Amino acid sequence: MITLDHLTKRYGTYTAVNDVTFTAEPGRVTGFLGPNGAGKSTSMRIIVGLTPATSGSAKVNGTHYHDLTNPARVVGTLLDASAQHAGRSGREVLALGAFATGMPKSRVDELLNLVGLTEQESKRRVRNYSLGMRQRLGLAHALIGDPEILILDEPANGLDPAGIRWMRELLSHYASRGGTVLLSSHLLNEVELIADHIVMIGHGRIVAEGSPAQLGQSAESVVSSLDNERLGALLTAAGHKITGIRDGEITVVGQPVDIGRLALENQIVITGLRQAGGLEDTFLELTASTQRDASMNGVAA
Amino acid sequence: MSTITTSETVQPRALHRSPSSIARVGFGRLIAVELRKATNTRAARALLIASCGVSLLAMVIATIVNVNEHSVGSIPMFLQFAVVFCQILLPLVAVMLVTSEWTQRTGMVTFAIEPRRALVIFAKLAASLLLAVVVAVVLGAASLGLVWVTQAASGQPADWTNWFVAVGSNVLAQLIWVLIAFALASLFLNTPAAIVGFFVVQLVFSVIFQILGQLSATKDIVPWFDISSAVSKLGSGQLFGYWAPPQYDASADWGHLVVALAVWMVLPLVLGLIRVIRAEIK
Repeated sequence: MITLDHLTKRYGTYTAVNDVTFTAEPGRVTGFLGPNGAGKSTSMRIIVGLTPATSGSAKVNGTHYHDLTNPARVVGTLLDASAQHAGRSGREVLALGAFATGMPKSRVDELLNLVGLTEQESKRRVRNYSLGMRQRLGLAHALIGDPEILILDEPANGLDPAGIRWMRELLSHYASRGGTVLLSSHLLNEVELIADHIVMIGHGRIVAEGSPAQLGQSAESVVSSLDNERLGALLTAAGHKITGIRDGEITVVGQPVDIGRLALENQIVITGLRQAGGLEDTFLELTASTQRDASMNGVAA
Repeated sequence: MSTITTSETVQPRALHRSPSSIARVGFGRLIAVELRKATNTRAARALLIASCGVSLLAMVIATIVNVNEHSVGSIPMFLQFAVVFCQILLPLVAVMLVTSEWTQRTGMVTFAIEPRRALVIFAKLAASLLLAVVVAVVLGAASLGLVWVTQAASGQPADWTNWFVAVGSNVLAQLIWVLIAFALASLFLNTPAAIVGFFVVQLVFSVIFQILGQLSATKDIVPWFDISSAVSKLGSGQLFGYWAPPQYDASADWGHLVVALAVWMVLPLVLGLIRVIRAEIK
């Protein structure tokens, strides 16, 4: 379990992490979602003691990371897949990790096998690895001490769709054995795929928290029909506030079931009806004010 | 890249639940880890091989010359080759052991595994010194061996008096240069800056101090800072009273050595430790 309690980190007048409180529970994958520079990496570094907090606290299993007897046996970390010595082979990186944490040598082959790096690939120097291979190596390194908690910063970065699916299976299996996983991402569809619980962060602050389903819920529906004018009037009369009309679609406060029933009762042919938004809208909406460059990050994300 | 490995390959074993049963990583293991890091990259191996190899090569050439001329070599003559190459190359191994954690960004892994950063730095220091001792002792032994070869070849007796002082003080001097390089590395946390800094302290300052030592205004202050001169007096055995000029009084030079070490080794190491402990590791 990872507990952040009013965690704050300031650099001069800039607040990178602003009063962040949440818990990553055992048995589930917690996704830390936010645009670049939102404070995800800083929070993670604070948890493992690489960055000092300005105020508040971050604890693992109720203890400060610094006070754990052999931290790598409790918490596995992958903070940057590229932060490995370019001149060492993948196998040597893992062997060194196993040695440093007091794990048996056999752990190296076990983990290479687990993350899908071949014997041959493991002997190549890390400088010749693709980002995807570095992520796999980094994940193997995080798992080396057989920890019960995993902290992974952008682990799916550089993985292909099949790789992301593989990681999802691996992590959900890990969580189902009672493990705690905290992973970050700036890509919504990635987090939606992998995480059971999402903590959305923007500008150092938590802006939303919940399951992907919960965060995807919207109070609004989007409807189009053969007679939008009459439908609009009926919706307003029935107390549904219309928030927008665009491209022949009406955005209206209300659930699809109510709107569909209203149209049916009035014999209006509906050509389209869906719940507005979903996680993506929530993500863009909640982080819109904190986007560095809405036209670049927002749309591309 | 192999095909996707599914979760079937994960052993469904229960995760650790009692951290108290997990043993602490001891200081001995930390040193062993750092020794491994110091020798498992190509750059570090190249430096170690070069510092040993070039010195040995120079010694062998000197032996051949001696044997050809039917003359006998002296221990200090052979050790001099160890000094020339080792005191330049060996410290770089120590530098890289520290700075690569920053330049290669492996510090994020190292200090996550062992959050007590001062311990990591001391383990690196111990590993650097162990490596330096091994190299210096090997070269010392090679010197003795090659003196014996020239003795056997020329049929003239070599001067074996106080051979252990000659080798021992040479080892000490090597260690001090490694310590100074290490201290500067932990202060700069950057490979090029640390290497340049080390050569400035070792070579450039030595020239500057030689000039300043001739000026009447500065000649009394210079010996307190001239680390190169102080260490070479230690390495040659002069400070221990061997091979010293007549009427030589070692006490003043011991004082100079201690002060120069405080300035160029202790001070940067303390500042460096504070920096490492306080720094944000990114």
